[in-house]
Amino acid sequence: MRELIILNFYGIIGLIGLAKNKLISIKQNKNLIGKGVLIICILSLYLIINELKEINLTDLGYLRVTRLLNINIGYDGISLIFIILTLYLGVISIISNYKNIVARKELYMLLLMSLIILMGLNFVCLDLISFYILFEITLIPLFLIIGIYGGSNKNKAAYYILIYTLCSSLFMLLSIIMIYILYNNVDFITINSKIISMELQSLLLIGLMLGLGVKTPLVPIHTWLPTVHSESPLGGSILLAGIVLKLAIYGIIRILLSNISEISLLYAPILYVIGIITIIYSSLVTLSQTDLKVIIAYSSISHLGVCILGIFANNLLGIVGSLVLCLAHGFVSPALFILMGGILYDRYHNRILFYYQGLTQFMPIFAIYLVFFSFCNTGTPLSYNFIGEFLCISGAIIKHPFIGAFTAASVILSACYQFKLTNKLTSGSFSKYLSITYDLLYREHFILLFLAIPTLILGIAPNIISNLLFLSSNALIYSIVI
Amino acid sequence: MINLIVFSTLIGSLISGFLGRYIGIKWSRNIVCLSVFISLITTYILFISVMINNNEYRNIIMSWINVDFLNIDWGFLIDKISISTLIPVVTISFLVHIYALVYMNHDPHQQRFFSYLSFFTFGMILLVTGDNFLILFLGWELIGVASYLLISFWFTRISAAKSGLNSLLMNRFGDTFLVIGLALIIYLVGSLNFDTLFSLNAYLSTDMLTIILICLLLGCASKSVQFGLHTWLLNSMEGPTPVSSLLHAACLVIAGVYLLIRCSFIIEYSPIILIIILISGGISTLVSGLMAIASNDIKRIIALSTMSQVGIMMLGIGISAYNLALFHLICHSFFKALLFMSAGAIIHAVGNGYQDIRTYGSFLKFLPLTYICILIASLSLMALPGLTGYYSKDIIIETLYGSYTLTGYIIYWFALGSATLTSIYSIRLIYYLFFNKPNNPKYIYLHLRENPTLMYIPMTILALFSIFIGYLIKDLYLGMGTPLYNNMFIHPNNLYFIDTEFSLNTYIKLLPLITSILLCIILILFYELYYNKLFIYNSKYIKYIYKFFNQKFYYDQIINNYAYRSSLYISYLLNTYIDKGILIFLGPYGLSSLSLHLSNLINKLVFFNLGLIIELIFFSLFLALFIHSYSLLYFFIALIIFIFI
Repeated sequence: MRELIILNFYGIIGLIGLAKNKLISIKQNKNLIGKGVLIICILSLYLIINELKEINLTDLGYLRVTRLLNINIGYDGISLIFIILTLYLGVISIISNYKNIVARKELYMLLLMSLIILMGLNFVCLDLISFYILFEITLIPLFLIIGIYGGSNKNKAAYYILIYTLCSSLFMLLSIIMIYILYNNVDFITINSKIISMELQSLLLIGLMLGLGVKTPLVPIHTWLPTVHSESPLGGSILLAGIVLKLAIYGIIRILLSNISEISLLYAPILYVIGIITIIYSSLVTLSQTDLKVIIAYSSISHLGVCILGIFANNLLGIVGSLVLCLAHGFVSPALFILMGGILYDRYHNRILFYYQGLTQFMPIFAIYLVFFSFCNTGTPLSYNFIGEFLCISGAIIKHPFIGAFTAASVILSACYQFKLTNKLTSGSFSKYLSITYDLLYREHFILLFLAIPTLILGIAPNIISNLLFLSSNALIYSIVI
Repeated sequence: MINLIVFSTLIGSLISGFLGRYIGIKWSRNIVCLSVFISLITTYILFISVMINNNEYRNIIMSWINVDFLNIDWGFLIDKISISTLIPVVTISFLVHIYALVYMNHDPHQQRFFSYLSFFTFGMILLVTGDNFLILFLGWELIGVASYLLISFWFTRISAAKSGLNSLLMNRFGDTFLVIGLALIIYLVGSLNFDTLFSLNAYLSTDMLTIILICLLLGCASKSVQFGLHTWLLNSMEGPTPVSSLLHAACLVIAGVYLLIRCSFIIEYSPIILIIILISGGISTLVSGLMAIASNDIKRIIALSTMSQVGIMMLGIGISAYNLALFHLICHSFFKALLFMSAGAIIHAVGNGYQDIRTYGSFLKFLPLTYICILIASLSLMALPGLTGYYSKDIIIETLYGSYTLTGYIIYWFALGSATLTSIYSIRLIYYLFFNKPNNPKYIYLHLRENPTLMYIPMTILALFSIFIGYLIKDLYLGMGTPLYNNMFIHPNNLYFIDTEFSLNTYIKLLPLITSILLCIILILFYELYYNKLFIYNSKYIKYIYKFFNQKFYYDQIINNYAYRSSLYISYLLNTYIDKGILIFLGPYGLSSLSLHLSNLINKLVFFNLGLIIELIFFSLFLALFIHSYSLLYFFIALIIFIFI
């Protein structure tokens, strides 16, 4: 773990220095910073996958805890898969923006890499304050990426994410300060072994859910996500959909479920209702959207609603299902963003749904990927999403048969909005307002293939990941023994 | 062997799909047909082993989902039900592949087509052979995917794309409830294996079983077109005819019936669900017959006939005669696939490709072989004694009467009406196609000739099947000691088999036949001699009735206008007034305008309104003074002074 952090730290410092002082002539060696960032990211991915050999899956608790700058650094199964996902998507997001950002590319790559590193650090730091700091600090690179490289409405989008996240994180900060005052300690391991009184717990839950609910996002406070997603550049979209939204689920696991578990058990019906409203409302709203990236953004709101229902189910099916769905959504949603915001937008510079028609005729491989990922996104079996969605629904139904049954609405509603989009793009005759362009490039093909392969393989054999998750998610179940 | 059955079609599909570009049309066709053929041969070998030698095979490859108490394996089960269902599935898949070789001969995307077709077969085999509910659900979804891809195969046609979407979403509607049902099964018994659930059947609460079965039944109703969720079947006739022949005769529509037969162990313990199945089957079998006599599209008539026959299978399940339903499933697949193939042969032969039967006529001289096939299939469908359909269909209708229950007796008349209507529309179809006055242009008739011989080989095989198969395997499925009873459960209270066999009057047994023949003769007489009586637009009332049936009870219109448009309108309202309205107003817009407003106020305060500042200073001084002295009186005085200042 230490090597990983040191590698990333020195790597990014070195690259910043390189970009700043132009030690090597960048004009001669085009995209040098991009290459450097990519190499760092791939090396980190290699290192983190190597960690799998070092750990013993039968050990309970945080593994390989070390101390760095007075902060405990370690991970358990849940953190490990999230870090792997982060770095995997990091590689993909760097490659996806390898060519199509022209101006100030060095800065973009550095921002992207720092965003990846900060999010990765978020999963390994084992105390509350560093969690809060890293949770909020992802905002800075994201704000800069969107503000500098975004689409036509970039200022609005950048302010949306800034204001929403900062306003909500105020409540989270207050809750964290409260926890600190109560315990005089912020280490996860210490605070998990103590119980606060119920009144304070309910206050804490409200404060923390306000902070985490904006990032998730839950319905009344989700307005920032579609705008931000549609305006941000491709790499930002990928990381936003893939990992930033999952930070909230990770926060729920680390703070709510393991720390104030009694009240999150008691408040579960309220959160269930919010989750169901999120699923149904956002699915219905998606049906009347016309922007390609906005549709995908709303679809991720709906899927995260399913995740919320699973995570508060207080049984292993729901929790593992929710984590699995997070992971699966982290593969599929970026792929859809690449298809919509990357490939189509690069070629036509247009994101309006009604502009496109009959793309199968001259972009057949694009159409294959689009249909594949659409089916994955709607949770068709053999895709990893299905495992997650099915386990979430079962978990929710086991928790509460009547409320949980509404979770299954996502099965039909996701198919409705997703196939409205897919059918419009792929079918139909050739439109005279579209110019014929080339099919996928090797680079795009590579990215999409490497997002499709894990989705399919993990869908066929999900136990590869479930075994990692098993012990650490087992610890999240709370049962009152009388 | 089981792996060979299941995965050979997948391998064929993948080779054709991914390598089709490199190996060419010819080789991809050959490989796909070979893969299905391997599956066919192994299925027949296993059929003998399972049905005759009473073996049972279970093949567990690896663990699929293993979380907490939930263990789901990649397991495949070959028992008597699955092998019996597999026989029509694989046979017709293979024959349809051969048929499609000719039918799709001129299509530029044949690799894609054969890949989809083979993938569909794979999904169907998975569905049938799965040994737990989740593998079944996997197959269930995969055939949904494959049917979407196949129906919208000619993707440039908007109508094909629309009907593909319709079929997908209608099936998804059922899948939603199926997922709820599966989750409730996990909630109830903690496992999705068939064996676990079925061995606990007598100990589970009846109410819970009823709720689970209602969920499963809704899934089945969408897959095997029961009235209410049937619209996708008629729209999906947009796809190529081999697709209709495979999906809507033998495979896709019987998936629901298969699931219900499989669930016989729990259905028997929930009497309410039996009545619901009986009613839904009765309504859909009658309603589809009524729609079919007024339809004009050749493929839609056959599709409605499929719906009617699936309704009759549901009736078989509703009176707990699962072996009859399974037998009808097998027999029906053969003659319905033949009917679809013949329709495809006609559409392929006719130059303009019209599918409206009113444009046909007098094809008897031009397409004699097709005529023979259609005649055999129709007679078998009409349950003429001696043909396949007679053995399977009439026994279900008899058993309805022989159950001696009130619902059974009412539904008996429904089924009788449906059987009669079946004869009417079959005769109408044959008459319009082959005996009517020629209605097509002369050019069509000059170029009208029989299709290539290869197309008729599968049709001939199916014609032989639809004559003989009922007689040959009658005892295996309907006999007193049928081996099927090992794998299905009939509650002793619901066992009507002996009553039906020995207590029914002869006229009850012959009633479907008599009414069919009588009405057919009347219909032919009308067509030949009194055709002017059939000018329906002359009579006001018959016109309305005809329009009502022809528009399929206005069900499409109702569901479009009330279900789809209203939900789209709701989504529009939510988007406009909540998402882009209230939430934006209270969120970013409201926040920014509020802060702007406040800052403007303070701005005014600072720069333009010096007097106000002085007022505020005085006011705060007074306030400090009077609060300090705790005197209310002074406070009022100060307030008055302040107001006057």
